[in-house]
Amino acid sequence: MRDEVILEGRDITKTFRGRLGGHPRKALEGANLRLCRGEYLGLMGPSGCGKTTLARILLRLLEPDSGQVFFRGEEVTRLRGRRLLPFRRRVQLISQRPETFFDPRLRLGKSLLEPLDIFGLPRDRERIRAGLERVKLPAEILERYPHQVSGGEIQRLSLCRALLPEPEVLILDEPTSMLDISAQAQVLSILRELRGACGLTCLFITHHRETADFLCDRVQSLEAPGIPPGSVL
Amino acid sequence: MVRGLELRDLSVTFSLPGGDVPAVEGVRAFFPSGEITGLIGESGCGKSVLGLAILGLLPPYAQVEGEIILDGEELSPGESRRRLGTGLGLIPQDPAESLNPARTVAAHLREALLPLRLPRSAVPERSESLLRDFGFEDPRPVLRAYPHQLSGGMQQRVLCAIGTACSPRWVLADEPTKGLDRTLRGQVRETLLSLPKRGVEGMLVITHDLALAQGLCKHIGVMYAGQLLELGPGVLEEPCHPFTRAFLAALPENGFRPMAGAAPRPGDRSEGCVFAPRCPRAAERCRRERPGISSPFPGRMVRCFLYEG
Repeated sequence: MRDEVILEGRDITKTFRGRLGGHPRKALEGANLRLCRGEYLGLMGPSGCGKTTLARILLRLLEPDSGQVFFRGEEVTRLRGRRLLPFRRRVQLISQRPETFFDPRLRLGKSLLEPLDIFGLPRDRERIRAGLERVKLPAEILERYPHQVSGGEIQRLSLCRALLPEPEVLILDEPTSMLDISAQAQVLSILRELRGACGLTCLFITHHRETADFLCDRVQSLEAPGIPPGSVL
Repeated sequence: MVRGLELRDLSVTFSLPGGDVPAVEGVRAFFPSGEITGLIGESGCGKSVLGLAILGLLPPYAQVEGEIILDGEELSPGESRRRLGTGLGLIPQDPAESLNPARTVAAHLREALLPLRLPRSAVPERSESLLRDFGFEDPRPVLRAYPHQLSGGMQQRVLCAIGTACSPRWVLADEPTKGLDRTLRGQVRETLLSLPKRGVEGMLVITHDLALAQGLCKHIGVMYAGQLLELGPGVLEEPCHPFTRAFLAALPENGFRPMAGAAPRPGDRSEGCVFAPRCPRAAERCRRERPGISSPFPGRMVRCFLYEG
């Protein structure tokens, strides 16, 4: 199973227009990435080299100029609208700004129901309770609002939210870069435990070599052959 | 008189509709001039509030008690604000929130340079030189850019340039390397190290980046739940307080070992030591009484009964 490619980006190119006085900026050129089932892959590279752009293209949140994205062998680059829903359920994002995933006007318990509603899953309290247990949070946190929890807690809640629809792949875009070392260690130890418990596949974008080494089977650099660097600002 | 920044029983309480929330409690500390002092601790422990209190930038609903003394002179909030720019400089955290989305970088720097009263024609050159100091090899397109056109790392470096534009005597840097990659963290570190050569007498660096703190700061203060639990030179090499030890165990080189339990929520205050509920060495007395300041050896201050007497 380990060699089965679950998510793949082939020959992806993306140019942004309008940054810094309207000059086009090449973010990615012929980028390739292969993620095998059950693998934790670290993706590293300097600021502005296109890590987040590549992640957003793999998530189908951004259109590439050229290139393809495959999920379990099926090309998803051309999928639109509701046909993307099954893919969206199976490939989830964890961001470095987890607070943006939660409506500030809603109690956290209500926000956690959103992915279940979106993917037509039952509003199963037991599923939410088990999810919170997995990320080591007490059930009383569901009664609070986003501004009433710490940075580490909201990142663990976003992990819980991402895991509720039972994804196969998690794309984590610098999930610990805004956290203090204590909260970082909590999130990393949970991610390590999840690997055994859920058989997740993870693409872990980070600036920290130590973090990548702690968590990942292998680390790919954006300067490595196959993923040439974009124009670094 | 020893030159430096002294805090005498500094407390900050936010008066909120739900009740008073203490954010900083009885901080007693001395940060000497000529040194860079690091302030570390978990998110929400009051580090930034302490920094904003020093700069007089807290909102009106914050009650500040105690004294802030710079080189023997007491600073009121108004006096601190008056000195912003040339006397006190701030490198704030969260670049996306701190930059005005409707203004270019050039406009931000122009405003930051106002206290220097430079001739209009000298401002662009000074702005370019500031940006070069912070790693922008070609500053001109950056000066024309709006904040949304810059990456997070670039925004952070622009903030560093703004905070030190008028070569202030004291600089408070709040998470100057947050979210930056290794290369940029190194650049910011080098720039902060170079500030004393440009007239900066003292610096307080609030950070989660312990590698930065270690490379930059001789003195380190450790905060938890609004209290300063430990302060002195060599804190990272030889931690005394059980919190400092547990906090450092989460470092990569120590195996990312997470601390048990959770920090108290704002407003939750027990009678005893603030760290007692999570402390592996807590005794009955720790849950009843709040420890005072002890000095296990010269230069070190620790708020823990383990070092009493």
